[in-house]
Amino acid sequence: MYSVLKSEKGGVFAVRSLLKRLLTENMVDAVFVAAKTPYSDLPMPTLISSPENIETADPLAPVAPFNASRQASILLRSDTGKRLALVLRPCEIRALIELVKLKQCVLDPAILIGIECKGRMENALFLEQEKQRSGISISFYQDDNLKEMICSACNVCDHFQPVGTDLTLSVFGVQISTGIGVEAESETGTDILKKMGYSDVQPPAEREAELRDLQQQRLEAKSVLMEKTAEDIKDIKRFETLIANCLNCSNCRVACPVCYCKECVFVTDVFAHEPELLIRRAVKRGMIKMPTETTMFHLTRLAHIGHACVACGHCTSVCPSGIPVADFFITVGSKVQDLFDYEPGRDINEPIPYLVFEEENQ
Amino acid sequence: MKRDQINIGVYICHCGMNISPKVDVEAVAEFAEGLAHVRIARDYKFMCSSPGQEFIIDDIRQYGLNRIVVASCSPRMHEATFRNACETAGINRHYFQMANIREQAAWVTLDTKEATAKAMDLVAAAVARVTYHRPLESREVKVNKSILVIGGGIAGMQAAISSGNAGYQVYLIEREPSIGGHMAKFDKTFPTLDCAACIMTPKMVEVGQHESIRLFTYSEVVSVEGFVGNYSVRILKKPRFIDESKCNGCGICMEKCPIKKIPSEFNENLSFRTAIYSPFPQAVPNTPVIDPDHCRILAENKPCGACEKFCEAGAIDFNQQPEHMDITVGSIIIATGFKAFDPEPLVQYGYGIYPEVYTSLEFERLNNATGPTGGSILMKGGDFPKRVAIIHCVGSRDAQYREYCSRVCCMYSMKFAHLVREKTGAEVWEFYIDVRSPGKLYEEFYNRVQKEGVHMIRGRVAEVTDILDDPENSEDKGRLTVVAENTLTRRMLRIPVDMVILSVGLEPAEGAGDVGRMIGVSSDGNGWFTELHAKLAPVSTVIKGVFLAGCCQGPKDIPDTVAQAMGASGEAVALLSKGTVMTRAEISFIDPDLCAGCQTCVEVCVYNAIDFDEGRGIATVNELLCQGCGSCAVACPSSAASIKHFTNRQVMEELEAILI
Repeated sequence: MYSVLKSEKGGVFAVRSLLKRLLTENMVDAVFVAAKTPYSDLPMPTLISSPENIETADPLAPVAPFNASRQASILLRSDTGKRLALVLRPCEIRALIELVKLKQCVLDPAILIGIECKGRMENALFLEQEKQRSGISISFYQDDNLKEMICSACNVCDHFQPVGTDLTLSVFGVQISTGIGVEAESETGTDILKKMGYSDVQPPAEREAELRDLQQQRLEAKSVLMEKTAEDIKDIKRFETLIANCLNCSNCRVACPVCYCKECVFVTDVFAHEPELLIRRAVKRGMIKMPTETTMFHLTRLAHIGHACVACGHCTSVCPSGIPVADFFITVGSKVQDLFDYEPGRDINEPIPYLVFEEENQ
Repeated sequence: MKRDQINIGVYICHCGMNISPKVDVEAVAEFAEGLAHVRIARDYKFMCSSPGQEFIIDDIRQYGLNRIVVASCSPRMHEATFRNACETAGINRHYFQMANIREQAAWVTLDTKEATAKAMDLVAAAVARVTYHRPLESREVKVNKSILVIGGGIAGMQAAISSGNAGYQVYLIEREPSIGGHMAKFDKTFPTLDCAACIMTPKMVEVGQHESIRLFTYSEVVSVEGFVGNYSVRILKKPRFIDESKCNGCGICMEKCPIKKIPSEFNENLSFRTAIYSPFPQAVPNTPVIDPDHCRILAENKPCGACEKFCEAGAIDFNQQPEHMDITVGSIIIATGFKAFDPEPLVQYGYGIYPEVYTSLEFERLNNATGPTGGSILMKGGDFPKRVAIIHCVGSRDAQYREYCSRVCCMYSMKFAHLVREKTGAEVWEFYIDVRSPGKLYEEFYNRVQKEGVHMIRGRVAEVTDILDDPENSEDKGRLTVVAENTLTRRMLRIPVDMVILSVGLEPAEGAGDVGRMIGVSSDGNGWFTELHAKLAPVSTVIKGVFLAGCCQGPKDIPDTVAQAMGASGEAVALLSKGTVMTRAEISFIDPDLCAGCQTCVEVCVYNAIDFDEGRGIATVNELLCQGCGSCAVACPSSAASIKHFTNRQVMEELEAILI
């Protein structure tokens, strides 16, 4: 079922009124959505229970300070009996699905509202642009110059449509200044739209073509990126060159939505070497760079979660040394995923490849 | 223990002339002495000898050593020896590490300098590792003094009898209505031509009457859980529809059953049986079963009840249901046997196309006194064959089907040749690749058969066809032609024959894979169960307390099968006779502080040894079930799961010492 939510003030207002009605009509107990805080223009994942506070929600802003799935998974750690509506980007939903598979959370209390995503800007760039012109949540969808400012991972993302949602907020083929489309993807979603009195209409004619064009453009960009990155990581020397400026700060690991360990193996004592070993290593090689485990760190992360990488790009965004972490995760991740015909976040019932044993694969 | 209290003794073994000429053992000892925490390093001719072990014991006592490294051979050889020495001297047996400088350095390195350098690296690794060793203890657990035998062929029967004779409670499970297996189908056995029934039926009766053997026929094992000494086994007893306690085996039911045209499985479909049937006259138990797929009442719900009417014992019970029985055993002997290769895919041999092409099992029945012809070797038309071809290696030694030699076909083929000559006087041609007769009296039998006038032709048969060379020749009318090259004379042969016997190879029994998966015993590429060690542990498996007997491990003749069954029984009895087993010390441990509760380990554990504690949201290890395989440790990304004695830290330190 497809409906159009109209608002002369623009799509964001239409979304807000939808979310507000979810609360006022007691369909949910709280809404989890990106919202502006009193202190900054950067929308942060926010749990809103009071309908008045919905005015701060800004889910269409082309920015995501981090992948919100981790915060969502905290709320969904167990079924509390309370109903929650979660407004998330496609990469956030895909990560959330992976976290469900890893038993880190449950979806029972959740109504998933996905956003069709045209990309996000890096946080600093967004703040700078927002300062220059307010109302970027609308202008982003109209101004091609702004669209060019999205981050590198978004530029190669072909998963801009969310899957597995109850409702999808649709920006393709829609004049965002006049409202937004909404598509019910589940029975729950259809019920909500019907209860609210929306009628089923034909999606805008331009929608399909717009989606197709973007898909093609993104896939082309992705193959260029993968080709280049494959060269950059062709052997261990080149890989070490690529990550030469790594500080081992672990920002990428903290930002990664599917790195779900309670404590990373790299903070356990496995890699806490005794001084005698480090000195012996230095004696044998003449010198060693410290910290010593940067290559191991990245390779281990690739091995652990390459198959589950949803290509959200937050690892690159948070790297203080500007290492294109997401580029090699997207490149290696795609290949691993193809190998196992696995797509992270595609289906909650799709088993994690290393937990499946197929006799033919012996 | 604080790290500065670690005192390591390092011992470099010469292994006679195995290590010392290649590795400069003195230099390695000197190098070891310079490593951190090493208090003393020595070299000695044979560390595994009594004086060698005494060195270690004395040094531990004199120098207060608390870690020992021996650089010698493989831990598979002498790890236990040196661990025992450590224990004797009063330190934990896991405060020991072995560096293999024989197989991994001396034997595989040409250059002395390189071998010495590598030995030094291996010693450094062992020293680095041993500093992170932790004391570990095993626990003693009681075992259940009973044995499960799966499969009631000659292997399973022998294993049951031997174990029962030792005084252990035995449960013998057979899925067919009677025990006996393939051997019960044979008439004569090579090379002595003993009557199979004469030597086998006493064993069957013994099994049936043995006070220590509980026989479950027409039953299957449906689940196996637990660990050595304490396996919980669930058995499915299929309904016979006959009350075993009432049936006296008179057989009147089989006479009266009106459904008489069911192909007899036991006779390889060469004759018919009734819907209520006993597979063969000497069946044990002598209780028939009703085939629910063909019985008028059970299959079609039509009025009949002939068997019920005539059964004086009142044993017929159409309401019998499948029953589950739960037993606990200490040990399991798998004896699931084989199935004969189906030659139909080899269309060139004409099986299933020409009626006079038989498989070897069909021929066994044809020749058997209880078979379809009462033991006369007759063609389908009722005449004796005058010319018979026997084709060896059908399905065996064939890269397209089974690469291996099935071991028994040459011998039984020659037995067939002898029997055909003896009973019919027909001319016999045997087509072979090589004749394999390595067994007691086997070669002698081969010579005997040749002297009896059997034509032995070396060459793989190209084709069996009904196209005759000379259709005008009335004598050959209706005959088949066997086309082959005699590779010794390099001549093409086209031999008209009346009957062709395909000596088909052996394959693992239907369902053997399921039994293996249930118990956790692995199979090789062909589906045969894998023994623990091809030479030194041929009846054991990787699962402690589970043993193999007979053809389920690979093709075998009867003497080898019986010997292996006795071996398996001996191993099972030896294991249980002590009354207790030690648990493994090197098992998984899940750190509750690190566990994120993702349950990946639960899913990858093939031993069902990991449970999820819902309350605490973490995974926990069942120490009795865990085999220490390490799957969980590999799968766990945060290393919450690790294997004691193979912790990440221990392995990383070992690697680091080599790699830096």
